[in-house]
Amino acid sequence: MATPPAPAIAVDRVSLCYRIPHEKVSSIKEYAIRRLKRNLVLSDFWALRDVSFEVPRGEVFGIIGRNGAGKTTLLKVVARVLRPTSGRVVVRGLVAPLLGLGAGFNDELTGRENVFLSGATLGFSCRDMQSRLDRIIDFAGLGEFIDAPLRTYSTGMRARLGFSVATDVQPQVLLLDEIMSVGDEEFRSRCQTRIESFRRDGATVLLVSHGLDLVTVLCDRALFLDRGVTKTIGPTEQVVSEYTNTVLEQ
Amino acid sequence: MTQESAGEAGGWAAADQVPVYDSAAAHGLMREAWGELLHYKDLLRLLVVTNIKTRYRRSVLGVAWTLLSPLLTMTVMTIAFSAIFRFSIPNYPVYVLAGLVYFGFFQESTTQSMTSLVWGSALLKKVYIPAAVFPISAVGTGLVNLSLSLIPLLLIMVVLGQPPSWALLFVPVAMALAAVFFLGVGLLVSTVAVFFSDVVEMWGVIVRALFYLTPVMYPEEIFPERLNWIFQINPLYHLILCWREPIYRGALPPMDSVLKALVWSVGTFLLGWWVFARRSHQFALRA
Repeated sequence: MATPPAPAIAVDRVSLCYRIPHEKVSSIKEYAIRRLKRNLVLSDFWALRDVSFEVPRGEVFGIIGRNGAGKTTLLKVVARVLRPTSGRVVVRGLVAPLLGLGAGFNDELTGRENVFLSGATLGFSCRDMQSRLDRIIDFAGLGEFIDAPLRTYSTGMRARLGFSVATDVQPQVLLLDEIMSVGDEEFRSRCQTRIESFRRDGATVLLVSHGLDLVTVLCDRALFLDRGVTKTIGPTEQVVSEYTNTVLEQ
Repeated sequence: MTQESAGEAGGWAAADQVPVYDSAAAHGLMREAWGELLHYKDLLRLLVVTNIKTRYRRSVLGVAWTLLSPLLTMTVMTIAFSAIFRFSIPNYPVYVLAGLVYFGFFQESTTQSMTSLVWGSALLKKVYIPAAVFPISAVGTGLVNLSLSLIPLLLIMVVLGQPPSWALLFVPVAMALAAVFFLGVGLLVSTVAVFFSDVVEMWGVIVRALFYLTPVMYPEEIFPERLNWIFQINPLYHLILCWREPIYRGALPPMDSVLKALVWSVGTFLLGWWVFARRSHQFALRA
């Protein structure tokens, strides 16, 4: 009996609530005073409400919506960075979260040392990183800068190194958040080639983008998120046209 | 992340072990969390190494500074206290140096627990890592520095002709007790610091108060007898006895203090871990 393979990403009725005070209370003194005066107004902000979708293995799935619609929040829930307030997320496979390139870099360390540190934040052991070091340095293409402290790097150089570390291993699930806007033209096209090859090798991709062109070209299916609620989900063309209509109406 | 064999994985022949993240899986407070930390042990080690490296990379004297700094403070204290206050403790330099490095460990590891977690919360917003790596690495850094400062301490003992004794074998026990207690405190204060940024400064004041309420630079005899209960309820008092008695007097610390230090350490650690584990999933939402 052939059971259908489990989806790479299963998001089941996920809601996420940020509890935000009306005015930001960031000191304990202020908190205590407001508590005493009963002046602490907390309001719940539902960034995601009852969002459900499944992405089968090997599919490229796009998330579109306006600013503040909850796209990045949704990506973070899948990346395990945020825990859903209710609902369930199951992700099967080795995840490469490209939410912020070069997260976990330390400015005082050299590029080479940062490869190990950044790799460790992604859960890779030092021995593992050692065996991949040459390939990572080669792809980043930073030349002698690899042994200079990171504080001397430009934003583009950081992104190069971050991308190289995060994508050196063939991931089974790739989470992309607007990362294609960094680096120079040459590097960007190399990134695109690499992502394309992951895709050919069967990786599942979850892509958040404002650029409708990119979504139309890359994605098999898409989800239109509006103020935390699923508006439409389905074939990319249909979802994109619905999105364009909604935006034009307002 | 639990490892689960993906039996039905048709096109995944190369990887028969696929990591699975399930948000509904039990968020265990103790056992699972430790297993996870073990997976990130290289990150822990690198954070400690980075802390130590970055502290010294830009300074001329490098690691030698760790050794020199407490020695200089000791010299100042010795001059100040033997010339001005005129209480006499034999071998005062050993007494005060032992106390200073131990208290420095307390101050450094608890403060760095907070600052490293606040720094790390930017990272926690982008990639999943167990948040406990930050306080743990802070205490680890403190332990390394304390071990390094044993060198000048032993040196001073030799210079002043203080004979080392078998009781020194108790020193690692005192270090372990302190590490567990400071980690507990670090977990507690750093949890609060993520939500309220002024806690870092408030903690500095509390540490300063504790410094004067603990016999670090003065002999405990000069403390008024009727206030002795303050020592008794002060965990740092018992901890510092565990550390300093073997070094300074060459004797094992009083059993009563060892037991109290043990209870404080384990109790604080369990409380700190519990509070931290209950709150850590909210860290990425804050700061």
